[in-house]
Amino acid sequence: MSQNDKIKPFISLISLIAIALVYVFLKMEITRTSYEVLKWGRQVKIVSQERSRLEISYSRLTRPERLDQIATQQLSLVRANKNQVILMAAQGDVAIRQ
Amino acid sequence: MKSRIIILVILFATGFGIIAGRAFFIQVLPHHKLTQLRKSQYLTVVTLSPQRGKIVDRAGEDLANSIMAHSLYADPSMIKEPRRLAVQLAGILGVSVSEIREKLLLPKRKFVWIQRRLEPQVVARIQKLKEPGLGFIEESKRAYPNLSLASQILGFTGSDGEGLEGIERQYNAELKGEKKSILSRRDARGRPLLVNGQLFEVTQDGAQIETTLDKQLQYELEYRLSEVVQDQNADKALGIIMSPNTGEILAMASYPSFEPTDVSSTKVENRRNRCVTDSFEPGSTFKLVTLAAALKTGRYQPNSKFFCEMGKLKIGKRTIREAETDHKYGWLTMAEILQFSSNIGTAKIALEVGQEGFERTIKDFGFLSKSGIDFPGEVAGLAPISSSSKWSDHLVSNLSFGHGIGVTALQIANAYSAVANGGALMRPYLVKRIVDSESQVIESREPQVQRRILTKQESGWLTMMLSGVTESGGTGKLAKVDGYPVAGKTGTAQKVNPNGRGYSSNSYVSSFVGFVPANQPQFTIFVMVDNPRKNYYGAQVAAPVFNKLASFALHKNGFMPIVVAEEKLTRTKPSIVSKARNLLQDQEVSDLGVPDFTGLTVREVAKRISRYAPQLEVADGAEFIGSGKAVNQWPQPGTPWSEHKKIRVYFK
Repeated sequence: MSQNDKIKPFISLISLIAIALVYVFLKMEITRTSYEVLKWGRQVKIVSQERSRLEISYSRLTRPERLDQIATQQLSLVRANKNQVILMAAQGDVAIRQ
Repeated sequence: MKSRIIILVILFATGFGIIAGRAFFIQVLPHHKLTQLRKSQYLTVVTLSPQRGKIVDRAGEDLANSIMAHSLYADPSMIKEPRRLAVQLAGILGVSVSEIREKLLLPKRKFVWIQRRLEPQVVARIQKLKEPGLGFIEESKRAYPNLSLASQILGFTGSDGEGLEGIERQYNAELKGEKKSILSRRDARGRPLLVNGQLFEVTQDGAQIETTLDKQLQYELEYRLSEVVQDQNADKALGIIMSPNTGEILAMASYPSFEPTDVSSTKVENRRNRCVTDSFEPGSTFKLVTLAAALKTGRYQPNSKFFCEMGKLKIGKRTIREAETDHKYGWLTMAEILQFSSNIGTAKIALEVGQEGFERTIKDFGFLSKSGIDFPGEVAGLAPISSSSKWSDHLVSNLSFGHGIGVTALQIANAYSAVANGGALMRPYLVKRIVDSESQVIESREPQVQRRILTKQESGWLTMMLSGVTESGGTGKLAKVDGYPVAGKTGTAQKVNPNGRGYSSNSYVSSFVGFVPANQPQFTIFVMVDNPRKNYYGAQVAAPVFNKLASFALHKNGFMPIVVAEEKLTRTKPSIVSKARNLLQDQEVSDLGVPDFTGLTVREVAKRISRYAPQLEVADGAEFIGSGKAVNQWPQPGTPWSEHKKIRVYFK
């Protein structure tokens, strides 16, 4: 039996152990990554909820009725009557008083 | 000794055999109960709640949106001091103690809702109680940020999140999304574990509904309806603004309305979208159909004349009169019959057309059948008529001016839209696109022609006749919008007596329907005011509302004026040099009669007319059509000024 033949079983054993270790490491990595994904998934959900909340707030603040009230009650603006509307023609050649 | 050893071996062998057998029984043989026990230790059900889709207007602005909210439940079997907890919860939730106590004391119940869809600050206060018998479940909560705006169209959702009325109901399947429950492995701390990316499978949120509504127009419509109801001390009002070329509903409302977030405290009738669910007698706005029927026979034209019996027409035992006793018309053209809204003239036209042609036209225009709008609860209208029986002359005459038939506001608006767009009856619609949560278009709706009901010439004639209604002498003058030709018709119908016999003498439905600009229609607008108590003519009550809505819609969308009366031009002060130059030109032009305006702008033409033709009445004497540079004129260049009282210049 040559020297090489004597070492081969040990090399095989070490290789098996190494593969097993790598397998365990990969499994642990998957688990760790899955926790990361879950954490960020929760974060996405929170941010998306916040976005919905802000969209609703924006719509509430810019709703026509509210803007109308602010204009007429706080800024003392009034709705233009038909004699106060001036339309500018597209070519800028005439102004029309409605 | 040997026998003892044998006995010990047997005992041990038996013991090991029993253990091995038991192990085989547990580990190898299938066992339902044990399998369940094992699964419950490492498997967990993760419920993924979808978020209900948004409803937006045509510009993408939110009309209805959703957020996730927490709903509070209790397990009464785990609560040790229900009475004390009821007091605490009542303080936080703002409900009565007895109501909560009743729920917490329910026997043999392990789950009871306390309150659903709570605000985050309320949830935080309840969590501080650290009561083990209380828990939260996440649910989608509907929000209507514009409060009552378009509420009758949007509808609302119930406590379980299902759409109950309006678009919420019509498109519930698309809006609600797909609720998912996933069986997942969990770790020692109960956290779900990812297995083959299983939790990446996110929920299918509800689709987004893109409506044809214009939020600004919708608000203006609702504002004007509430204004006219208050001004006229009316019962209610309703209105529609639609695109005649596509059938898109831009705004639709009735007043009074309601807030979708406070449904329980509103009257049921205020939640209805009356424009499609209620029918009414249209009155004179229906005369359009009678005239269309006459034109379709091919025997009549707008200048065909009818004798209007000097205000009184006897049919059998009944007498038909004009709206006012002092209206005693003789010979009128069809155009004048519409302009002055002559009942007798219209009745005579219908009698000439006959039952068959009249009935066919009524049905062609979409009356007595549903328009097919994508909205629940639409009615077809009603009429005491049957194709199989012969209509009496009295019935024909009544129908000709819009009595004895029930129509919806949408049917009227759609019929006028058909005239406006050149004769195609469109299918009105409220939703133009459905987009899923990943921005993929599920459904896209295009304008759909139901049928062609008029030729181009017939619709052109009707448009011309309807334009006369808003001109000087017409019944709809107050609907006229400066700078834009308006085609429309007033309607004033007596309401049926509450006992169902005859008509009330002091209760009316006033309406106006028309389209603008008449030469290139962009908006069909219908306004109806129910039981106004100050005035009652459609011309006085509804036409001014039409005017305001049409002005707003045209100005908002940047449509340039087409017809400009000279008095509407604003002038700048001319410099001395330009005055001198004008004087020289004055002399030259004055000698040659009406100048050639070709190539001049509106302002330049207006200046010359006002300078050289003071005999022209400013308001009516000069009419400018179109915009840009002058391309044609009447009278022709060179004609003496004194020969004409009017001048018309076309611009392009």
